[in-house]
Formats: sequence, structure tokens, C-alpha cells
Amino acid sequence: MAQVASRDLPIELEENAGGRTKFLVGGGLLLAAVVYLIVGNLMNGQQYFVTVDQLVAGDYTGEQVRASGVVLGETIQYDGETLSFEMAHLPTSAADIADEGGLAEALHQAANVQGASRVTVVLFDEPKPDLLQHEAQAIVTGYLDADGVFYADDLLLKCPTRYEDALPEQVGEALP
Amino acid sequence: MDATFGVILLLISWVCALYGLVAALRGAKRANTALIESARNATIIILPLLTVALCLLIIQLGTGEFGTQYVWAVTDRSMPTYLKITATWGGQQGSLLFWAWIMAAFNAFALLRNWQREQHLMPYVVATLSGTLLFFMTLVTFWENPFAQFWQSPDQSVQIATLFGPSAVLSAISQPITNLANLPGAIGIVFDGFIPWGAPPDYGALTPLDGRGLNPLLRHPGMIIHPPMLYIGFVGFTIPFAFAIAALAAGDLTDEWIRATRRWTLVAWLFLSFGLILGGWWAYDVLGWGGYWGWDPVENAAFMPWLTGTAFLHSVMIQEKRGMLKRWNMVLIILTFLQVILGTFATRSGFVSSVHSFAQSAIGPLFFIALVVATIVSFALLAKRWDALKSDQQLDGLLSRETMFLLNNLVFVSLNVAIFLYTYWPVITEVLAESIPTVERSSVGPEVYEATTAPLFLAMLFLMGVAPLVAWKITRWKRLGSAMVYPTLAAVTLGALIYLLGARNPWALIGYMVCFLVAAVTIMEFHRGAAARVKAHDEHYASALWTLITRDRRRYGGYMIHLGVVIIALGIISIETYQVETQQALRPGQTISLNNYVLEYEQLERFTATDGRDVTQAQAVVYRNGTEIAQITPRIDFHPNGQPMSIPAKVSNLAGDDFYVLLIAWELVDFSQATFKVYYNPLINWIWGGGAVFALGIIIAAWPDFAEERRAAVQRAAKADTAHRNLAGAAGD
Repeated sequence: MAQVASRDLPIELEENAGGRTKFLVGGGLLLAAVVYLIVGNLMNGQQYFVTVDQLVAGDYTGEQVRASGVVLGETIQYDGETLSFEMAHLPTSAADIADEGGLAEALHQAANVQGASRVTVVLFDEPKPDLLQHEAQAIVTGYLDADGVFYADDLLLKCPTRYEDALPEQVGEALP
Repeated sequence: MDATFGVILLLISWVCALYGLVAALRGAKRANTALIESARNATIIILPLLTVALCLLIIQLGTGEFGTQYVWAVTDRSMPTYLKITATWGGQQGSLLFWAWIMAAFNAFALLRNWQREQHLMPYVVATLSGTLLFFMTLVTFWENPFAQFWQSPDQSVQIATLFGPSAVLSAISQPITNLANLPGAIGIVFDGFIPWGAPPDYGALTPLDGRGLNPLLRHPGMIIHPPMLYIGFVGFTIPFAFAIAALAAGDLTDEWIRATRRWTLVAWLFLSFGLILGGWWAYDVLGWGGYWGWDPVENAAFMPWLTGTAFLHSVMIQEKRGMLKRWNMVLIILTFLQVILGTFATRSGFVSSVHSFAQSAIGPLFFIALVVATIVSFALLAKRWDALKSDQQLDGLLSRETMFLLNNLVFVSLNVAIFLYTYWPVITEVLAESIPTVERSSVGPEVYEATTAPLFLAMLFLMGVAPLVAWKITRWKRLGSAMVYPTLAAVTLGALIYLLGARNPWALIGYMVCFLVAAVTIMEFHRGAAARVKAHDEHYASALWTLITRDRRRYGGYMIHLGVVIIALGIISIETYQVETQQALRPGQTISLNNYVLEYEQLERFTATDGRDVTQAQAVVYRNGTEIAQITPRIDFHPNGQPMSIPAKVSNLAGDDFYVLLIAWELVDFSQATFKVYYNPLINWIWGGGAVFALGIIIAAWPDFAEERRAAVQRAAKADTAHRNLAGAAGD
């Protein structure tokens, strides 16, 4: 696109007093084109990051979004083609998660809130990921249909692994 | 040897870095040569100190000293030795020490190599280098010490402490008398088995029987070299940055600093480029998703300084040739350095979530402070010299090499701005959402990156094709037009050929043709130069080509780099537009067909590997055009307590296409049905091959030319003499 714009500029070769203006106009046009490209794509393509509470409230029905929640283990169903599970509300802000004592603790708490809002997630033609288990964090990309089911085409799972712990599990192997 | 010895080495290095910074600044202020030299020596001595510390850590990792928390965290008994050694950079603490060691090495060699030649810049170079190292040494000594050990209190709780943890230092300050009693212990630190200074005396060392083991994702040969390459690239940019800052501080605004650091910049750029390509190869080979680049925040964090670094490498040529863009070059090198620090910060602190992030750590705020300090100091110095950095000349023609370089810079900086905005968009919207209710949190997917960067990359390629044909100062359109005739003809012919072969995607065709244009222009440049030599010196063509390249390494190395980029671009365009994939569940004997390949599934087997992995492996046969060409075993690894990993199997053909097979699931019931995902990745191997050509080009461009160096040294001496006289004159005003 840079080359297209530069060809549109007046072709002058004489050294003249208007030389500076020529560069400024050309540079300005190119800059505007680049800003349009960067910002335009961003505005068209950004995906809102929503919580289960927000989904259930219905503000995003039909819109392509990324939603995050905590997987409820007993609701996972898989018949070889269709995968479905329910996820409960999980506070998204990093500060909240830190307040609740890290991701593992935040997930554990969120999965055990009585009456927390839930949404059913459905995926087609996907294998069942091994990480899909009780109290995993699910990040799904897709849309909530009018029937209240979230149709996802992408599923990301986060499990707090032991690679995050700083201390050995067992104590008492101290050498004298 | 005891981990405590490591702590002491780190502490001494920290003191040296602090001394280097303070002494260099004082030395510069008082023009005290002895003080400046001692600052230099303090900076250089950090290299042997950290080398010993690093060796100590490697020995501890190799021998399984699990009492050291880092060793416990990244190794276990079953890991092979090479992985135990590469675990040095498998976690936060070790990689920070490794980082600091690389920086110490760069600092030492740069100071030794450039000491005589750029003496007037040296006080500030030493100050910048040791100041940067001081920051990393502070992290590695006080916050993320790789030699921190487990200590067990009498009530059986476990703590992690170094010899002088921050709390121990505080208690030492508050209880000087109590701690005097511990002094014998402090003296005995080089011996094994004593209680650390500052820890209550009834604490005991704790040595777990086995370690936790390295994160399974990092257990790959690619991990041996990918992180060191990136680190060397990152750290390497500190050298040109230090010289730029020194030039600003000393008020020597000639392009001396650029000449002095050209090779250092190229070395940094070489390693960063190589690290990026290796990262892509690792992702393709291990992560098992059929791709090589996912616009992940950490990949982006490494790519952004590469973009400004590349812009810098090009635009310094305008400064050297025409004395223009002096301010801009300063801005570019400062931005490159800041983005190195920001990238490290963003990925180390959990600030942006990413598959690469190390566990959240307390060092985030420290990085933030360092970033703010570096930004303020750099831009304050730049503002101070702003007027003095005026261009010597004005742009002449709209069509000139200068404007080509300007457009090149525009493309690189636009890419940088776009990637920066998109990477930090979730953070930006999260912050804004807290104060402005109408803003909602959102993120940006790979499609957005692709939509924005594809036209910019295309523009970059096009400039690579045109710029070498455009002369400095001014070129006539007609002249450029006639120079472009043959390359354009070649590009269009090859484009038509590809169209006839079946490529119909218009964007891909445009991309291919631009690639051919660049290749034709570049090869013609080599040919023209060689042909001229054949004519003038009656040489053989091959030897003429060789002389041509060795006489002007910078130029022809640069063209070689362009050729590497073209090869990489051909690979990327092909895989992005013509990758095909399919997924199917198979019973033994059933097949999947994709293009002219057939995958026949034979059976599934399960076993436990020596390092404790549970492996589920499919045996399958690959046919091409009906002929059996390979037996492959895609598999899924279960590391105990880790995540399952799908390890792909692939078959390449001569053209560089891959038939790439992932085992993604199997039926637990009868243990025979397995689900495969199969990709056909056209020309994917061109990306790695192009990377090799690219690296070779940089090596040619950066290769030291000793005869040239001697000539330059003589010139420099004369120039420095004049400069000194000018400076003396200015001081006298």
C-alpha cells in the first residue's frame, strides 16, 4: 500500500521551494493510510472479553465474544462428536484472582458458589481435551445463541499445574 | 560446592556493578581517568565472577542438588543430562542469571574492544552498561536468586532463603549486635553445612529426594538454543544503546557511535533473528497445532525490538551517507532497548498472559521502575541534544534512496505500532474500563494481526525490490523504470507460470510476484557487479563474484539477507494461503487422504518412557502417490502431573512441503480407534531454509575486515584530533 500511495503523489523532479510541502503531504497521506489500517482492523476485529454473568445478562447475545468461566466437572458430556459442559461465573480481573489466593484457589471458590450464574457451552467436531476437568478455567470463543447455549469454535483451558508451586509437597526429607 | 558460594559471587558482582556505575559517573564529571579505568575494570571483572556462578549452577543442576530451590524446580533424577544443563534457562531465576552472564560478557568484550578507539565516550558507556547490569544483578541477587535454598524450621515448615535474603538484611540492620554473634558463621560460608546468616540457629537445611522436573514443554532440543539466541539478541542491543546514550551525554554527535557499534548491532540482530526463527521451528515441532507463529504476546515481545532494530540498521545508512535522521536514529535505538526491557517485563510479570509466562513474580514492579527510569534518562538526554542533532542536509528528490529508507522505516515502525497496540490491547482496555464505563475489555485475535501486517509486509517486500535500484539524492522515474524492466518481466513470467500450475488466490499471486521481483533485482545486483569486474579485471566470473562480496560485505551481505527474506516470504505466503487440514477418527487399517498423501493407521501402543512419561503412540504408514514413503509415530506424552502434549510426526518432500500428522485422541474403550489431525503444509521448510540464508547474510555483513579496520583507525585518529580541537574550541567559547 505504501507504493500505491507514493505513486499517486505529484511527480516532480526539479528542486524547488515546494519540496518540503511535497514530502509533508506525501508523508501525511501515507501516515493516514497506515493509521486507518491499524485502527480499522482493530475496531472491526476486537473480541470482547466477557464473564458468565455478562453473558447470562443477555447483553452479548449473538455477538462473537471470548468468555471465561470455571468448568463444572459433572456436566461434561462427549459423544465423540459433540462436546458440551457448563461453566460458572469466574471473576476476570487479575486483582480479584490475586485476592483469592491465586488461580487455583479462585477457580475452586468460583466452582463452589451457590447459585452462581452458569452457561452451557457446546463444541462440534472437536476431540475432548484432557485438560477439560472440574475446576479448570475455560476460555471459549464463539457466541451465545438466543436458546441460551454458547456455541464455541475455540476452547482454551487453563489448569493450575504443580509447575507453579514454589515448595515441595512433602516435607521431612531433611538431611541431618 | 555450596549454593552459598553462588550467593556470595552474585553479591560481589552486584557490588561491582554498583561501583562501576557510580565510579564511571564521578570519573566523567571530574575527568578522572584513573577512576574511569577502575569503573571499567569493575565492569569487566563481573564476567569471571558470573561465569563461576553460572558454572556452579550448572554443576548443581547436573548433580541434582535439590536443596537449592531452583534445581528442585527445574530438574529431576530421570531427566537426561543435556536437559539438566539446559534447565539453566528453564525457569525464572536461572534465566535471569544466564541473562546477566550474557550481558556481562557483552559488556566485557565491548569495553575491551572499543576502549582505545572511543575513549571520550567510554565513561558514559561504562555507566550505561553497568547501570543496566546493576538492575539485572539486583533482580538476580535479591529477588530471584537461583541459589536460594530450602530451610526447615523446627515446626517443620519450609522456607526458601538465600544467605542474605531481603528480610535477613533488614534484620541484620535492626539487630547489629545479635548478628555479630553470627559472624563466625558468615566467615565459614565457603564451607558446607552451616546455618545461613540471618536465619534463626535452629533452622536446618532441607534436601528433597527428587526434583519437580522441567516443564514438559521445554523438553525439546529446540529449547537448547532458542532461549540463548533470543537472550543474546536482546542483550546485544544494550551495546549500541549504551554508545548512543554516551554520545548524547558526552555531546559527541558525530556518527562515531554508529560506526563503533555497527558490528555489535549486527551480532545482536543476527541472534535475535535466529532466535525468532528457532522459536517458530520449536512451536511447529512441539506445540502441535500445525502453525509456527501465533501472535502470542511473548513472540510479539521478541519481534517488536527486532522491528525497531531492523529499522535502525537501515536508517543509520542515511546518517552515515548524508548526515540526516540523527534524531530519528537515536529514537530508534532507544525504543529498541526499551522494548527489550518492556518485553522481558511483560512476560516475566504475568502482566500479559501468555503460554510462555513464567509464574507470576514480584519482580514486575521492579521492571516497571527500571523502564520508567530508562525512558526518562534516555529522552531527557535526547531532548538536551535535540538542536545539536539537526540534519546536515535536506531531502533532495521524492524518488531517492533516502526516501526509500524513510518508507522502509515507516513500514517497520507501523508494524511495531500495530503489534504493540494489539498485544497490549487487553491491558489497555482493562485499565480504561476501570475508569470509563463505556469501554469494554477486549482482546485481538490472530486474524486482526494478519489483516494489518500482511499489506505492510507486502510493502516491505516491494521496497526491498525497488530500493537497491534507486540512487542517493535523486533518481529519475524513467531511469528507475528502465532498470525495473527485466526484473518485472521475470516476476510476471514466473507469476503466470505459477498461475498455470494452479495458484488462483490473487493475494498469494501478488505476493509471489513481488517475491520474484525482489529475487530478480537482488540477483541482478550480484550479476552486474560481478560482470563489471570480469570486464575490468579480466577475472573468472566466480572469483569476480567472490571478490565483489568480500570487498563490500555490508552491501552484498545485505542483499543476501534480502534473498533470505524472499525465501522465508515464499514459505509464509504458501502455508498461509494453501495449508489444508482434515481430521478423522480411524480404526486400524483405515486411511485418511489429503492431496496426494494417504495416511494408513496400523495400531496404537502405550508405554512408559525412561523419564517417566506415559506415551501413547500411533503407528501409521504414509503413502505418496500410492507408494509407501514412511512409517511414522505421532504420539501423546503424559508427563506425570504435567499437561498432555501432542507430539507431531511429519514427512517432508523435496519441494519443502510437510505432511504433518497429529494424534489427538483415542478411544479408551477398545483402545484401537484413534483420531488424527492431518495437515498439508506447502513450502513450510522454506521458512527454515530462508532463515539459514538470512543468517549467512548477516555473518557476511558483520565479518570483521581487519585491513578496513586499520584504515578506519587511522582516519578515526585524524578525525578525533579535529573533534577534540573543536570541542576545546567550543569549551573556550
